[in-house]
Amino acid sequence: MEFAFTEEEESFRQEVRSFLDTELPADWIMPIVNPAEDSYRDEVWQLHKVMARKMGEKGWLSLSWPKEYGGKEASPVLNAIFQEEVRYRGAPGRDPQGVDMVAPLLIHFGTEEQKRQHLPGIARGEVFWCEGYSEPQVGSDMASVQTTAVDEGDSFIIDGQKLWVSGAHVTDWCHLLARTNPAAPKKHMGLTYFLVDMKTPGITVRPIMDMCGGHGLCEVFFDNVIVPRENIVGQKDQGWEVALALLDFERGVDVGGAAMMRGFFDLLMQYMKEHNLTEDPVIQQHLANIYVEIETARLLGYKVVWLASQGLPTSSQASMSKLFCSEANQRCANAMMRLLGSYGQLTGDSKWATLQGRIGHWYLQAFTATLARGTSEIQRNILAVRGLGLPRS
Amino acid sequence: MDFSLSEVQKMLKREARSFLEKECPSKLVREMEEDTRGYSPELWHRIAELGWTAIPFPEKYGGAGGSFLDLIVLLEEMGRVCLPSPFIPSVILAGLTILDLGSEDQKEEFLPGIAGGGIICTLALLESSDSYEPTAITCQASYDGKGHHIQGTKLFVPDANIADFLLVAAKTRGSSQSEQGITLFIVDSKSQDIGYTLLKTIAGDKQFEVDLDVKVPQTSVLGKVGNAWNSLKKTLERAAVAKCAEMVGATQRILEMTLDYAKERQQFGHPIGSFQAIQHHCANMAMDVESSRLNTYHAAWLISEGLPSSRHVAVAKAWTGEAYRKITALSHQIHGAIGFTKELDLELYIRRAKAAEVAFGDGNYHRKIIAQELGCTTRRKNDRQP
Repeated sequence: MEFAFTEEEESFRQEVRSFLDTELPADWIMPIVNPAEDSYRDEVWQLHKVMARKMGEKGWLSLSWPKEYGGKEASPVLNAIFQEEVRYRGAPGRDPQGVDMVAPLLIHFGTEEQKRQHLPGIARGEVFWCEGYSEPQVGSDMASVQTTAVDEGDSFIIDGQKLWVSGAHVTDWCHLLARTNPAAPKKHMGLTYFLVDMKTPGITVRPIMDMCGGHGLCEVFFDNVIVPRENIVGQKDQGWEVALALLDFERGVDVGGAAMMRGFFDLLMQYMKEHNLTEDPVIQQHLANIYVEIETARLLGYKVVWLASQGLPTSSQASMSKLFCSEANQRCANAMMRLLGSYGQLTGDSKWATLQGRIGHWYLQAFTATLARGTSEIQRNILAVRGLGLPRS
Repeated sequence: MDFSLSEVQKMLKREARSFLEKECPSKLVREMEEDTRGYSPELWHRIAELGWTAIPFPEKYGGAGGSFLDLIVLLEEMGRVCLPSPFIPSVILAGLTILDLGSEDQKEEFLPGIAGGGIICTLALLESSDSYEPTAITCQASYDGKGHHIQGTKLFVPDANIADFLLVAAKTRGSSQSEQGITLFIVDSKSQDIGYTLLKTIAGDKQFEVDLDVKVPQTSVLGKVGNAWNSLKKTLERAAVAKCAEMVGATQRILEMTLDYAKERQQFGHPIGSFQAIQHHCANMAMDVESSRLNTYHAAWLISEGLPSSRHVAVAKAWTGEAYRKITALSHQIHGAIGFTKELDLELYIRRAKAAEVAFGDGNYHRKIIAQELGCTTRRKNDRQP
């Protein structure tokens, strides 16, 4: 057993830290709490793009890719350290859609042309992606896709509607599932995985206002959208397998959530110490409780990183990590709001606001944590059936 | 970063699993609850022969030169079967404290016996205040020029009935407040001037009230007068993690029992394990078992490496103690009424979970330590501004 990092890993962490010290505006606390929402806010998006390019120049967006596609073939541990430091500071620039999902997807399932076309843009931090999975009638029951794609030989024509597509209004490409064979005997058969240029005619994006005042979540309409055949990932009608693999990447290595909580916790501790608020034994119990949750989330996250670094299966352990971390996220945000009392509700505009009102923002954002990337209920199902071997319901 | 056990640890784990499954069935555990000694000397002898009691001690004292982490691997297996034995009291509470604090003579006198299992020791620390703070020790030791007169009552002393020697924590008379004045004495348990009263517990384990009014020679001071607290703190940390390891083993076993039951038990024509309500309870149990294990091994690794460990020991004990209780409750809920009976082994674990949760500090105690570690200030009464 070894819980420490190697010298190489420690020095990489220092390098990322000093990069973030230099590049982040000093007076901006945790710009990104939830990457799937905050990255696309008007006030963050420009900085997100600038920092993505700088991270791309460092080679940090393609750390663990094969060298032939411009990667460093670094261990998943380095990638986790990068993720951890970025989320600890709430820094923009690391697009989880491109870096954590589309890139591994293409490396595993993509054609040579797809890899050549798409990987460099992700690696350089120049091209941003969104995900078209949910639909008005498609939530946890992900295989019940109603958006259709009709095979026209050289191309497919996509019609339908996708929902909760984070960043669709500003991102460049969308990866999505569409139904190519409505006659297939089971609903998860007959689906095909597509890469779609968001500039294609026939795509309409409508941002949806959310309760945090953002509009990162979008609804996307596809009306006679022509997608070239070479944009299929995997085989026609075999998209389900690709989608499941992607979900494993999506839920996979995530030490970011724990790092974000730790970021807030350290800020709060500093604030409470400066204001002599740490003497009350009840408050101390709450603070310690939050700390325990964060440490536990971090260990569960790193266990998955280690499994991945050994080439071992991560699936049910990743579900466990995601499940714990997302629920801890809500418990900790709520606990910190309680510690702030009436001040917690103030937004950053108020002169009385604490930590620029970011904990209140987090508290609201945290409601999505147990929904996005598979609800807690779905994670428990996966854990019970895949991890514990219980019979399917 | 490496979350795997070493080859030696894997071997030890396999050996312990198969030995204990065979030699420590639940029948024995129940018998030992009724037994006045509370353990099987024959089984203890065999455990010592396997070299388990020798693991953490240096070879020069008859030990095996193993690591604290090795011990944790073993304790997980002991917890899995609820092994009734004085292992934690003798090896960890007493043995490692003597190794830390004892003079060369004391180490040579006691450690080979503890490592070989021939000598059993325990620690008499807690008193009626049930507090692990140094200020809670009121048991007095007064020096008369020749020896020390120890007077006081200790509570919750594990396995005092079978111990050959007691390590007694006492406040040296005339010493200043709290930590400075605490001395450990190695006391012959057979002395006429020590009274033992069994405290009957829900777990049926053997904890005692120990009443001391005993005179001991200067040579029974462990190390030096008044300097025991720092070592005792380390002892309590090691014991807390050892208790966590037992709990991890126990909860792993409970999870397995529960999954087996959920797959077999049929209602409405289906195994209850196919119902999401049951599946989600099981998922929660698995998450608590895994997070307890990770926190426990993290703390144990820090101790093993000699790195600062107080904060993460507290995290492990606060988390694992409460997780154990949650896991037993969910398991009971899934088992239904049969879980309430002695027909099933679950009740053995349920009765032990509460003792384990409070042993060496409960969640509140450890969260207080975490808060101190994080730099929270404590306002003392006399610091208060007018």
